[in-house]
Amino acid sequence: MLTLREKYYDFDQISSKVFKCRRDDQFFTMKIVSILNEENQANNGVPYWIIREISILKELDHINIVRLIDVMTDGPDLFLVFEYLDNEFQADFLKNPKMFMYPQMKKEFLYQILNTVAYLHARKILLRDLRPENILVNVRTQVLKIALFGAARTFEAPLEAYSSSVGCLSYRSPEVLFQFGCEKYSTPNDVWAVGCIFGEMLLHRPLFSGPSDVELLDEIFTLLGTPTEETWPGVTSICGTCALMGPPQQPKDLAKEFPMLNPDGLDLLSKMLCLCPNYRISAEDAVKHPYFKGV
Amino acid sequence: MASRAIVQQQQARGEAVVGGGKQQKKNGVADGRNRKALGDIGNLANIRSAVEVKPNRPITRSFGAQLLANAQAAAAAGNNKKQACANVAGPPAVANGGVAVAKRVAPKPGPKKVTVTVKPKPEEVIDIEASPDKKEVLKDKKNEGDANSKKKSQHTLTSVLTARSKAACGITNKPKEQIIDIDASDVDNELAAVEYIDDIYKFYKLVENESHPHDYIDSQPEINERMRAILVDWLIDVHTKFELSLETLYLTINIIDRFLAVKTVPRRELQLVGISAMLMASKYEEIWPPEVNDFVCLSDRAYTHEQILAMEKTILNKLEWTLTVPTPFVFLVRFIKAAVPDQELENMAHFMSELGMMNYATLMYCPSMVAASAVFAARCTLNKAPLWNETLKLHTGYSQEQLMDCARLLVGFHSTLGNGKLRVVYRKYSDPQKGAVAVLPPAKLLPEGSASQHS
Repeated sequence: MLTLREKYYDFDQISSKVFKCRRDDQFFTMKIVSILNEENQANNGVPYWIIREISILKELDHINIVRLIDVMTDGPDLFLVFEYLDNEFQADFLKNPKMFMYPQMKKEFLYQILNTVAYLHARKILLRDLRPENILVNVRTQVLKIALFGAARTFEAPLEAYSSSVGCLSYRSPEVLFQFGCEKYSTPNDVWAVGCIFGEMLLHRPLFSGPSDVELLDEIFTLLGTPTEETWPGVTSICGTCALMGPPQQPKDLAKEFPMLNPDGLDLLSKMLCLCPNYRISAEDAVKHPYFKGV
Repeated sequence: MASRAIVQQQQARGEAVVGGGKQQKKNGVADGRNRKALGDIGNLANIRSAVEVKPNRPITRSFGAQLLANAQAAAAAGNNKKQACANVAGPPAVANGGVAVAKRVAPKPGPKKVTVTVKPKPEEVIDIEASPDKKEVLKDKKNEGDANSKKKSQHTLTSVLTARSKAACGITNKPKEQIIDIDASDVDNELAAVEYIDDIYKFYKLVENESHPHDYIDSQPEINERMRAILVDWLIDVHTKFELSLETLYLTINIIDRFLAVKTVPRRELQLVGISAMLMASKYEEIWPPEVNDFVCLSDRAYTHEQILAMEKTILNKLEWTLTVPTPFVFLVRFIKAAVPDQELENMAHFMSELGMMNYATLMYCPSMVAASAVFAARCTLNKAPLWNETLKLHTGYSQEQLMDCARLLVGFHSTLGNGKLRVVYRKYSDPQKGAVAVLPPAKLLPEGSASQHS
């Protein structure tokens, strides 16, 4: 078996743990992951999130997912070799000023995100940590790539209990925020995150940004109204305590909050940000929404 | 044109039209979920029970053949142009050849008679009457336009007459079983992932052989089937002690078998492979996986912390980090659901599947077949009637006949289990919490000849 140096050469450091390298006149991005780190003091071997990330990435073949080419081990380090994305691909895509030059571009990128999420869900993969920082875009070619699958995991139907301490707080769905400890959640959690990203694309700021679970829920209910048994059957039993719900609030008119959106766009946004996960649109159906006509 | 006008009228009145119509509401909230209807799982009554052909003379064999010939001639005259199925009631559509074609109609109160003329001769007029008590139940495809909906199965005159002539000849003597929509109760449960369930299982079926280990025991000089069985028996015990998920157990065995298929392992390291495989599977599946030290203690310090970690890396590299694989378990949960089980059947199916996992001989069958055979063997053991049905056949993709060999194997394991030394699975499923299914007498499986009658 070839060693790392025999297989790859011309290493060029991009950041502390990321290198550009070459093999047979082809460029790759190499990410170094240390098995022994402060989180793994007991040294339980390869961390669970690396096992998940690699085995999931190995199975995926989609234009909008950063492709894992190779995995190599050397002592306590793992070397993950990904497809090379040139400088035109910029991470944290919503910080890219060119993103907002053309309204059609937002629609194109939203479509690509939803298409990718639908692809993952059809392969029993929950993304769980979808946020702008994990999305790279090439504005010139209008290609988007989702990276970093540290929080992804496969699911079986019916879904078992999974850790609820996942994902960036701003993009967490109400069903996850309501649940403390290990609870059940499913594919609608990822759709909620896409809805938050959609809102952020339009407003140029995070849709919800509360610093804690309770404050974030309050922000969500301020915009979308407090859920009731009618709009979210079983919500009172889920939240356990009415203190989480706060005083009842009426939903705001999304047309006033998002004046830049046409009726189709408002319909899609409202369906993605539906409080009840049962009624929330699936990624598969969202891709077919009339809002994307002509994309 | 007439039927189009009716569609427009119905839509104007707000009535539901299959493949379109108003968006339904749940509890006052628009259903944004817009679930894809499961096209292949329906409760459609079959053609023989839905329509009744009443010719004006008895159907003898020769008359049946004559009717069939006439219908085929008429179809040929119409340049084989097939009439698309209509979703609403209306006057019979007439094809180019002057033959009126029976249309699929939405249920309406009372029987509706449609006269279908085969040839312009009075003695060859056939009434097709929709039986009021056996109406077709059409699935409502919410918010899905006709363009997106799958093409409905068409009941042409030829197929109706063929069915009748077969019936007259005694070729078919029983109405086709209804297929149960096993996901109907989960439409409002997001945890069931109903929209994706078909895609997921299509994908599983597609890739199950890629990760299925080949026959390897002959290439292992120091390991035999008995040793593997001892290892699996011990791992099931460890799995129970740690209270791990069943996914973890099945993935552990999959990892072991795939590793042994690509790497020669000395006898003294077999348990080390098992421990490391369970460690990896736990990390992949569990929220709180056991730690390496737990495995060191469990193995009675037969292996060190470092040895376990080194083996973990070796296995991961050899398997190229591929752990996202369909095991028999992922199929088993679906197939058990298709069996519409009681608790006893569910326990028995899991028992059969774990017996299969313990025995190397089942490795010759793909994961979906092992899972389907476990359900079939469980039904045989519990004398469920019918032993196999159309719903199970649809979801598993296997007929009873195809499962017979593997099911016999599983039943054979059950019958010899009580006498052997490897009794962990037996103990596990003798527990009243598991319905004590292991102590039930093994199935008397049907002889091979009778299998086809039920499949």
